[in-house]
Amino acid sequence: MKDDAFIWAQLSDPATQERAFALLVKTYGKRLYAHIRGIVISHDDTNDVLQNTFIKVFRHIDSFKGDSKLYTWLYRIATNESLTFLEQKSRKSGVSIEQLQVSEFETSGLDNEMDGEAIAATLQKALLQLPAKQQLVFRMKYFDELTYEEIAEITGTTVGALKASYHHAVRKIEDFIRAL
Amino acid sequence: MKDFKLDTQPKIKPAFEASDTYLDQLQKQVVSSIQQEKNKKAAFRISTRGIWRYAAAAVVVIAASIPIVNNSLVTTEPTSSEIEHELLRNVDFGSVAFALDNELSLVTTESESTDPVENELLENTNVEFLITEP
Repeated sequence: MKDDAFIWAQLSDPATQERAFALLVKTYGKRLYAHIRGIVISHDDTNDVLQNTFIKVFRHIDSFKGDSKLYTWLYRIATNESLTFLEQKSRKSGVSIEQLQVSEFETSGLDNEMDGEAIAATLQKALLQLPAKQQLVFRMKYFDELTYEEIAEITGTTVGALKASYHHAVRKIEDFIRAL
Repeated sequence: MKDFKLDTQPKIKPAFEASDTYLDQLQKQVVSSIQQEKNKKAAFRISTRGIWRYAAAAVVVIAASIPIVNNSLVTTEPTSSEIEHELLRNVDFGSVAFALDNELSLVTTESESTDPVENELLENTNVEFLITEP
């Protein structure tokens, strides 16, 4: 796997930009897909949001100063795109973001045909009981193994608030699974 | 699951994972979208270059016309003789004379009818008698 500095150097050069984007998708596509899909749930919506994320990266490539890590920047764009997408969809359909996520999960058939282990499906169900922001913190901490400082940079929240949010999320998930 | 605890469980993978086939397709889609964006950018640059030329020409024309417009808009104060001339130009002297005559006759009529003392003085030529009369 190529490191961020190499990808960044290729992205900055118009001659190698397209190759760099292919490399960017190869390096971060899987993680970003899981992150976005965990938020918007449907595969088709995830595909749209993920493509928009990479197009946004291309449009704003000049504004990336290199102060943060490349993947932190990618996560921030992906998270904002996902939340904006969900908010718009929720406004159009007139239901809350959380209700929307649950109904997407139920109608997609993933409830019964989940890839991987059954526990992953159960955890996903438990996650959908949480408020959208708490889900986000849990995903980034538990699945993506980001540090609190990195999550704070992505979400614009304090480390203290994130720790509290993650602690609440874990407690609620454990309670939900214990009650099954 | 009565004693379920996340930190004692083996790490649970995310429920949703992208397949390698999907990632290959995504790579192609993203590269194609980037190419389209680049083409759009290039087309925009070409079209705006033309617009800038026209805009620059328009600015030069406007700047050059400012003194001309300014000169045509400058208003000069008319002199007193010009005002007098302008006022007299459309005066109908016949109407003025008629109006003045009317005014004078009004004054005369009014003095005759309203002031008996003055009438007496005007009619009586023996002024001395009037002065010495006890």
